[in-house]
Amino acid sequence: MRHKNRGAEVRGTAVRFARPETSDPFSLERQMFIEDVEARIFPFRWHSEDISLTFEGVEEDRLRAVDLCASLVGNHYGPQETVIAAMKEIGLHLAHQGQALFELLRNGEGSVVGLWSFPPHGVYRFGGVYVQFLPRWGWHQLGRKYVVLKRDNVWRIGMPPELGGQRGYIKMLKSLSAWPSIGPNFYTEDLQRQELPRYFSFAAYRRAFEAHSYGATRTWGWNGRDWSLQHITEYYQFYRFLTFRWAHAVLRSHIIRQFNRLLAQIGISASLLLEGLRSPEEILNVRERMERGEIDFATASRLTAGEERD
Amino acid sequence: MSANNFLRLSQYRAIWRLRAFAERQRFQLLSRVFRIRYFAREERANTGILVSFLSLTAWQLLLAVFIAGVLELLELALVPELIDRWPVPDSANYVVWLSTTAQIGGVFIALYFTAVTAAAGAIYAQVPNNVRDLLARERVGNIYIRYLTLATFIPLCLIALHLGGFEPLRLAIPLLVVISGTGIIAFAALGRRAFNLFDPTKLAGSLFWELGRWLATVSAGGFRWQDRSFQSHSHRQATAVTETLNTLADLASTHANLDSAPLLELSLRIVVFLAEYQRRKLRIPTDSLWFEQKYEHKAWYVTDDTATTMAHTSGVSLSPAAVPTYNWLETRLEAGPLKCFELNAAGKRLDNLQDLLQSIDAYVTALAANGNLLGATSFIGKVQNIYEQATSGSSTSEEEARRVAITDAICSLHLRPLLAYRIALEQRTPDLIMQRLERVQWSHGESLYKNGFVTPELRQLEWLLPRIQMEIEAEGLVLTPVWYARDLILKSQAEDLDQSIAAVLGSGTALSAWSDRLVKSGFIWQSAAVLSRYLEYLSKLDSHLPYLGARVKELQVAKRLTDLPWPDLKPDSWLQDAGKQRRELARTIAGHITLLSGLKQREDVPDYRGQFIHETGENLFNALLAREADDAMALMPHYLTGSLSLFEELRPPQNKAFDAWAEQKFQIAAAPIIDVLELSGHAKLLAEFYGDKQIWSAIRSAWDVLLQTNPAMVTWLAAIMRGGLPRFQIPHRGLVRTNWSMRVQRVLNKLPQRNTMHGGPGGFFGAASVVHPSTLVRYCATYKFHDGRNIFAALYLSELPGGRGLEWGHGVRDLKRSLELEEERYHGEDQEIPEAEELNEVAEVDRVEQVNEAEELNETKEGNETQE
Repeated sequence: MRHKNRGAEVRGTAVRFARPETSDPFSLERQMFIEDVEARIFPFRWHSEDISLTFEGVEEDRLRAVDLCASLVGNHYGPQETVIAAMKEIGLHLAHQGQALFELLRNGEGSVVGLWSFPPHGVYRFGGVYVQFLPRWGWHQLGRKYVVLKRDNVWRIGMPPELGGQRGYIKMLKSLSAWPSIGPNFYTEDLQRQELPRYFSFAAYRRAFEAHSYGATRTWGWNGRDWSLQHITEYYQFYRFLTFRWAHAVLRSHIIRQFNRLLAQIGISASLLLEGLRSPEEILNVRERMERGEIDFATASRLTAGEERD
Repeated sequence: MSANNFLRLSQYRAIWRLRAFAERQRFQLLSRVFRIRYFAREERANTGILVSFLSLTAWQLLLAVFIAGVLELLELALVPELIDRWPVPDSANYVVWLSTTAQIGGVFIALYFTAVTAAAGAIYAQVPNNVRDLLARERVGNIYIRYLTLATFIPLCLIALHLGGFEPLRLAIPLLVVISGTGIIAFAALGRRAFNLFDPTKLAGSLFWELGRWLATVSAGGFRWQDRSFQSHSHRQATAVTETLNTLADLASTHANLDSAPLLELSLRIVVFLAEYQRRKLRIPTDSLWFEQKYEHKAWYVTDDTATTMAHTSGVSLSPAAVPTYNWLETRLEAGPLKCFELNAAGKRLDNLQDLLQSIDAYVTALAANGNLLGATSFIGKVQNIYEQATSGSSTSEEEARRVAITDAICSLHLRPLLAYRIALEQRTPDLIMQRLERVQWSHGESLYKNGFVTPELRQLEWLLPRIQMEIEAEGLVLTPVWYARDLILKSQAEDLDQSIAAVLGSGTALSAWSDRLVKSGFIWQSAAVLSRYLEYLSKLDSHLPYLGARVKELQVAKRLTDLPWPDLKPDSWLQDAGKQRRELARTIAGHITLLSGLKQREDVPDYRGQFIHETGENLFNALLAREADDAMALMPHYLTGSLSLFEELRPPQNKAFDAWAEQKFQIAAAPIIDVLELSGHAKLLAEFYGDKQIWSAIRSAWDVLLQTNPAMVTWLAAIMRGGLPRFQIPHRGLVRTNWSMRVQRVLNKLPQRNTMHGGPGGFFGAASVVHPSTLVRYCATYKFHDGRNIFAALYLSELPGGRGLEWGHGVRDLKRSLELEEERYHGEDQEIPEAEELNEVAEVDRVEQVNEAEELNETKEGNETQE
């Protein structure tokens, strides 16, 4: 039996608003990184019969869980697609902000029937409540300056500690966008005037930038979308490639684990089960085998892509 | 500075300007430091020479002081009251003594410059500036003059002081004695050196010293060795030095009194330097500007779009890429020694050539040992070409012997790279490479050049270095494992191996081509020398190629990166190439038997004909065993002719005088003929064994031709069969023939056997018989009979029209009978034929007949001796 509120638009108390775009001229690397993180948490295609993301549990609870997902992203072609879209949505929030906040929407009986995402900017926790301070420009329009939410009505998910946690993630994003990748501002301005300052060494700058970028994303293993071997060895490139896959696996497992915990918390006896994708431990094992030289790069790539098991 | 801090600062234009300014200032400062270091090193060297003056003259100086001291002591002992205190010298005497000392110094300075002027007038007036500069920079003379000037000037100062009203200085007397004494005694030694000034090549020492110094500057650990400006400066200086050396070599080669020993000495020093340079070169980064830069122009349609678009927009052509010429110094300096070699070859100075070839040997060995096998073979090719061109004219008999010796020495050069390369490879196994890589400290680039890597390996490591340093910067540690670096190095080794083996195999082709040219020019002895070394070369190649093949397998097993594009190494094709060369050489050598037989044999050259006949015998046997009838057909006529000519030369003269050693001499002379007979018999046996008539035809046709033109030869072949072998001792060359027999037996042992049982009242007996359609093969396999000469005589010679009535010895008779019995036994095997007993009876009869025949022969011999 499907829930009555399935697919219905239910609004929460928390306020959604978009932050005015900050003029961050150096955000190219940051944007690319966020896109790469978000895009690969879950595979693009689920055509493979070996991969599945389904709920386990009694029929009614499974339907409730799907409805919960649908409250985030609307209904898709089938339950699995809806669940996948919801998980991707959570991943998207995490990739952008390092954490995601959802208000739990309850019906008259007090059961949770939906999730309402809201931005984490200006949200602080004081004891048993979350207080959302609204931006000044919205005070007049919204008619209030803050919103108070009970802690029991908020689901918070942050970056897993293996990936630096929420603070570490935000710090890394800031570090990534700290410096322009194509040269200092004065150099760009000179180029626009068709001047080439002799005292400036573009190669030295780029090398420093690459080192900084690699250092900043050390935990994640992001390669900056650079597949050339201009500054690194092929081995290091693959090492980072596998580390990036490991980071995705960690994040994926974390999202599923936290979502299952939420379901248990709100009394839904269903749990999300992912099959067919490599666990973080399996990916680390493959990376260690590659480190020892037991498998070549192509095999390591295949074994971690979910296409093959040895 | 960390990357983050660097980026923080680099956002400001002023910082970049400051950085560029600091770079310029640093360069200026370092240039000054460099000059100071240069000056300090010069002064240190000069001081060294000065100290050597003192040490050279110390003994004589001390002796003089000792004598003076002894005299003084004697004076003190004998007349102490006279020396109660040191009197102040008399003013006039003091001045006279000082002025005399100064005059002596002045005279010496004048004499030295007279000598220099004479040398400059005689030799240096017509030479280029850079050679004349050598005279001006002559270090020992310059230091001496500086010293002498000082020694001359000090007395003048002392005189001036005295004239200024000061008392005579008593301490000045012993001091000046030492200074003047050193100057006077050193002048004698320097006088001898003055004669060296007439030979500009003697002044080349400073050039090598200078070259070594610039080399040290650009080597890992040298002052600013990674700085492109300093590398470029060192290159320019070294280029100037090489030009001076080449000018010196040209000068020496065009002066009649300098083109022998002086030019040779200079050339030897250059070659020794080049050999040493091969080792030192491995400490220089391969992309250093020390190596001459050559511009390579890019092709439009294989250049990346960005470059072509920019070039099109700007309306300019593509910028060429600068590529280092890694062997620039060798190319420049090799010219002098090659010129020297050419002059000495043309002048037929054998001793000089041998000296030069010895040092060239060391040079090509160093080239190959340090991974430049192509350079080694290329240089040998140049030496060979020069020698060929210089000795293309006719020669006297004595000259011919010298030419053979030099040809042999040049050919032996071809062997060096292979041996050196093999030894070097043994030091570059995957395990050893791993150990070396573990010692590399990636944070210090210098470390790459101190662990014994050769050039191709260094190129890979230099590629790795900045990338691994990036890892250290980003991760704080090296992540790329040692095996990855090792795989890259092994790949470079595989590429190097491919090229090097091609070069090694090319040496064989070069020797073969040289031999052909020499034959066409009529220099048979020299050609034989080339072939003899070629033979040695192929023999060494045969022993080294399996190692190289095993090395390829070792590389393939050791590699972990299966997706790296490795060269397609084919050790089997190397073996095939070597085998092809060996077959061609076997034919060429056989052809030379005939050529050499037509020449008068001489003792001042090696016995190439004997070597070639022996070698052809072995090659022929191998061809028979391997069923290569074409090769056998090509070799047999030459082998037969050569063996017959050897017999003619070695057999004792037919004189009536008694010679106790006549029989022994005859048997020695008969040995080559018996070899041919033995091989011919083996050919018959193997032809039947393989069922291949062509093998036998190849041998028989040569005999047919010979015996048709000379039918009487059958008679003395029968005599050789009867008396060519000693009865009770190991015959001459018996070991060679036994070896052939054993190899034939090994082939026969592979035949299948049939076991049969014979039963009767006496019991049951088992017997094994060989299965083969040929009676001869069955007999030889069963009874291990492989006496080739008897087979040949029984089945060919004794069947000839002229050979039927002749006595060929008991072996031939018995073999025929044994074959008949074997035929009967084989066809009646199902019946109870006591073939074993019968054959035993035959063997017993043989033994009795052999004893009788030996006794008969002895009696005949005794009778002959009595008659004589």
